[in-house]
Amino acid sequence: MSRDEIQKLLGGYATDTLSEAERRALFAAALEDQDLFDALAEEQALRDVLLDPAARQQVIEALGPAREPFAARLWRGLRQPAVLAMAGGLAVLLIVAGIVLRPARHAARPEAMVADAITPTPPTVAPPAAIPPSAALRKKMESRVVGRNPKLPARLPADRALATAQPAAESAASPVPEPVPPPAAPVPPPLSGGVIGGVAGTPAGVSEAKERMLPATPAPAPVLRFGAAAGQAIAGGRFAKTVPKAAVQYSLLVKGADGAYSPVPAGAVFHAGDAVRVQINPGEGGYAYLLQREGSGGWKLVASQQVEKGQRYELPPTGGLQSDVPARLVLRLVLSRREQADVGALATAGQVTAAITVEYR
Amino acid sequence: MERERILLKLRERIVAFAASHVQGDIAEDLAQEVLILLHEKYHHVDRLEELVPLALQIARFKIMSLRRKSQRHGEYTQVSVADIQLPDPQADPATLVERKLMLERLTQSVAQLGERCRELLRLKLQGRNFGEIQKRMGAQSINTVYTWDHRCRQQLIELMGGSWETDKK
Repeated sequence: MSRDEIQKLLGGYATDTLSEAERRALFAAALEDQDLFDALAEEQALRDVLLDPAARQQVIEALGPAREPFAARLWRGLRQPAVLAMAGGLAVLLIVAGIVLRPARHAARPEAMVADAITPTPPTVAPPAAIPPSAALRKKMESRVVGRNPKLPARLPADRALATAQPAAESAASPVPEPVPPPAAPVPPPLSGGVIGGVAGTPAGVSEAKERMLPATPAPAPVLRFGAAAGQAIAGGRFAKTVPKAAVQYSLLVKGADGAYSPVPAGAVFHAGDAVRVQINPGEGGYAYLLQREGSGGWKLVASQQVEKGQRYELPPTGGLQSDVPARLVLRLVLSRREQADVGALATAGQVTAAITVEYR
Repeated sequence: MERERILLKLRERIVAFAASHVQGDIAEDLAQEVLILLHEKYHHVDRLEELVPLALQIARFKIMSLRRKSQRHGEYTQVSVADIQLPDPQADPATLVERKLMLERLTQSVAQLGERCRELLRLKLQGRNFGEIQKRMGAQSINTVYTWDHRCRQQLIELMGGSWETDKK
């Protein structure tokens, strides 16, 4: 111990606080240091007083109440009524906020259609093998549910998107190069159940995934495509050689208890007995045809309608598609600028504007 | 350290200390009286840790006794014979009064100490050593407690007027 450190032991002498080693060090140093010895002798007066237990107790009482340990002080502070009330209020506030914000967060997730402006690409390359997407690609595209893809550039409410959609007649009307002779048209598996959205004038033979991967180049008339299933809906399409296709947007309607038809949300499942209609909004005037595949593999005309640009039509205009048992109705929607006499030819891939599947469970 | 050597050292220190409180020749006599007492009455005490406080206590009593004796002889205050107080047969009342006065000053002063000093002094008076105080007060090292105690002691002495005793001369 240095001299300074030993000096600090002086305070422990009067109160008899020093340990054996500390006392030895202090006294040995005091024998060698007169100043320290004098200081020690001065402390003797205080020591004599504090040797008396009564006097010691009196000094302790004069020191006031003992300070509680930090944890005890903290606990005592937390138990104050004001603190408890504040903590309770805060807890209630958090609970209320959680209850209020939770439904709000769900409500803020709209079942919105997604408008995706894409550039029509010329069907320069359309190998038949590329027409049916692979299973992995199909799965990937199906996972792009309406309103769930953050990369999509714009989101619009369902009704607004349909009402404000831009027709894409230009793309359909634009001359197309001579296509590669189509092979035996493999119609891709259509999207199941309650698909909202349609396809407008996308050149057939170009898959959805391929279109999205193409770089965005300035286009005179971008096509608004609604719904992640849009690409599915046109799968299997070919270039129409003789019948120019027109742009069309569509949605499915289901008959309610009041007899009125109303749009169904994305991913809706139809039950046996539900009456379904297809509402279309053509991008240009012409003729709309709705075909249904029969059990034999042939196609029957469900409804046909002369349509005008920007007007909404429901197909069939009366009644509705219906199934009393779980089944899958495979439909074809064709929009042609000219009236078609050969209805059977409309169902060929080259004539199909949209492939729709209504699944009853 | 041997007892004889301790006593020699003690004599030297006591003479120097007493000389600052009483006259020089008396300081020599006082130290001699302390050593004689240690030799005759406390010859069994030979440890340093016991001899030093014992010598300090004896020396202090001797100095106080000398002061009271000189006061009685009128060395500092000349009074008439009629005013001379008669000796009290009770046991050392002057010492009791001095302790009482000092205790009063002490209780008044400790109440003015800071919270840490009061806590430290309380623990000391409760008989805890510095190691226990270190744990109790959460100090990082025992040197920290030494430093706290040293500062608190200085602060307490200042609050008491610079000395524990009032009549220090």
